[in-house]
Parts: sequence; structure tokens; C-alpha cells
Amino acid sequence: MPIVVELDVMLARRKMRSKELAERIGLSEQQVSMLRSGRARGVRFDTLARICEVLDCQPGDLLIHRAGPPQD
Amino acid sequence: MPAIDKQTALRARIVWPCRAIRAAAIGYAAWSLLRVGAFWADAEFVARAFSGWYGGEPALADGLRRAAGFGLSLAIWALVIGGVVAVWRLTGHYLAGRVFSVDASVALKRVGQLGLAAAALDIALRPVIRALLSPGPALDPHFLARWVRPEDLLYAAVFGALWVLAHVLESAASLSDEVEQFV
Repeated sequence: MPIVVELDVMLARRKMRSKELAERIGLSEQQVSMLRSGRARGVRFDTLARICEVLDCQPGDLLIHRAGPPQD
Repeated sequence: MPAIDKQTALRARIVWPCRAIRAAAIGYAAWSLLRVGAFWADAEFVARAFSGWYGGEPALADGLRRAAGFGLSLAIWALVIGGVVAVWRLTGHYLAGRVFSVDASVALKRVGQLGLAAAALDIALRPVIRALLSPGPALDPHFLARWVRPEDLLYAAVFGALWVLAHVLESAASLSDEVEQFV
């Protein structure tokens, strides 16, 4: 998928563990792990808003579009 | 209420009905086997019952014919046992919290299929058992008028509905799996 979630980078900048993020945004660690590893097929706007609030960032800091070969 | 809490609440609500369904299914299989065995063991009772169901003069069937009838009844009972196993698996998925899962819908589909198969085999074997027990033609007018009973339609409707419902739930479970990939 050409959309890449750069959550690891933002967590490192804020010196926050994914467990703490999961607790503060009300998701399970497994769901945050899915998001970090790119296994999630999508992210809800309210989840994105809570992550931005906790990490004090913008959606554009978390989501990056990387053009690649077209997929079927 | 978060989705995980809703699933826990749903599981709590269905625990005792699932256990009751399991007990009823096993009880039905055991009870029906006892009834089938007791029925075919009593020559006079078999003659009276078949005369009442299909008309004509009651004729006492010898041991070999009754054993053959018992064997055919066991074939239907084997499908019932398959259905009971499917019910056990279905309720097992529900008790483990896998209510909206593909596995549970496959087990429900199996319940519907085996129920329909048992009902169809029961209908198909009636003329065979009638021929075993009666010296007259198997498809005489008395028999044809009573071959299919109203409860056969009820069984077909109930098990057919379960089968259709299982297909709907299978689609819903696939959708649910997809939704779980959205965080």
C-alpha cells in the first residue's frame, strides 16, 4: 500500500512507548502494533485525532504517501 | 460501550442457552435411539403403527425384516448424530466468544445441511420400509396419500432457514474480519 504510517518515528521523537500510547488513546497494544507494522487496512478519523492529540502532531506527520508500482 | 465489552456481554447472555442446547441435542440423539430400538423390537407395535400411518391390514414382520428396518432407521440416526456434533461445535465456537466468525457460520451451515439430509432420507426410506413390512405393493394409494407429512415441511423450512442464515452470517463474519483490520 502506498500509504505508510510513520508512527514509530513520532513515538521516538516524543520518547513514548507504544504501550503508553495504546493506553492513552484507548486501543489495545495489538491494534497499535497493527498500525505500526502497516498491517492495518485503515485508520479511523477519531483514532487519528486521538493519536495527534496525544503525540501533539498533525495527521501529515503520521501518514506519508510513497508512490510505487500500481497494484491490482 | 466498546466492542470488546459488547462481545463479553453477548457471551455472558448466551452461555446457559448454549449449554441447554448442547444438553437437548445429546438428549434427543440418545432418546431417539432408544425409541427406535424399542419400536423395532416389538413386532405387534410395528404392525399396529404402520397400519395406523399408512393404512391396510397390520401384518407381523419377522425378525429379519424388523432388523433391516432398524438398520435403515439407524442410517437416519447417523445423520442426526452428525447434526448433534455440528451443534456441539457451533455452541463451542459461541462459548469461546467466536460468535461472528466464519468457523461458527460453517458449523451452523452443517447443522442445516445435516438436518435437511436427515429429513430427506427419512422421506425417501418410507416406501422402502413400507415394502419391507407389507406384502402388498409399496406405492399403493393408502401409502401415497400419507407418504409426506406436514411436519416434513416444517423440518424443511426450519433447517433450510438455518442453512440460509448460515450463509448470511458467513458473509457478515468475513465483513467483521475486514472491519477488525481498521483501527
